[in-house]
Amino acid sequence: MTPDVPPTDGPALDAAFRHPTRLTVAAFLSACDEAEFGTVRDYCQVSDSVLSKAAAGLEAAGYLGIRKGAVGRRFRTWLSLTPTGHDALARHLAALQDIASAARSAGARARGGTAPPASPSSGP
Amino acid sequence: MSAQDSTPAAPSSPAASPDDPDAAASALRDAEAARSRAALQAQLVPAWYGPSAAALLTAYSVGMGLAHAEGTAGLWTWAGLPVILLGLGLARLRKRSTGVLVGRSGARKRAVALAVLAAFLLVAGVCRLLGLGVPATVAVTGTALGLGVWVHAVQQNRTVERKLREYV
Repeated sequence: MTPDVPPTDGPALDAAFRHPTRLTVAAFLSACDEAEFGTVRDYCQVSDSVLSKAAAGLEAAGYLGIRKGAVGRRFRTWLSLTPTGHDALARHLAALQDIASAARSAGARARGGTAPPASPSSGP
Repeated sequence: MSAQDSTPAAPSSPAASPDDPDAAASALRDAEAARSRAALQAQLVPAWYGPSAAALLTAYSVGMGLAHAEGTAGLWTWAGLPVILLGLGLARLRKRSTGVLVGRSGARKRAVALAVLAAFLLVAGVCRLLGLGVPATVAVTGTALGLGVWVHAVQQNRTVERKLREYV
């Protein structure tokens, strides 16, 4: 059951992070300088193509940097969140937090209005 | 109210919308789990790193000790340069092989350097107190440091893997 949520004046959700995989990729990358494509893919439990698509979307928004590099003889792709991406993610998470907080407050108010009175004292 | 579930590795939240607080809360949990996972994974040490570092330090320090005993320590000191480069290469490869790169702060690097120096001085001091000569002190100190790196790597991996299991 979802309580009514009053509109908030806080930060707005970013359309680039609406897809769960994109948000997870951005959140993962926000905790590090760079992450290898395969590591992010394994964490997100998605296929190469799904992660490629998510990364391309974030890159198009200017939130993600993609670098090709080599470790030993193997070529690897490294993903990183740009400073713009960090800011955008912070705003998006703040917006999500606002939504969740507003819902909690609305729920608490609703419960407060309909809650049964406190249990009577058992003493004489 | 649904039961609190442990956050899975894969993103489980649907796309959050302004009128869906449940999706927002779920997305927040997923984001926090992803951040924690990345931070933990960056701390993992590859299995080969501990033994390699131990072998490198032990081989060099034993060689240095033998060179001291034979009076050719000056020559052996020059061998330290490629050993240092090899050590830096190992450390770089270690960082990259985890798949997650996190820059260490200056304070953290200083703390690690101080800890290594303190361990070096402690072991060397104990060796001298026990009456060991310079060659043996050098060999034992280097070997102890190498084994210390290995043990630390194993301990760190255990701790990180335990924490990672809590997220799965």
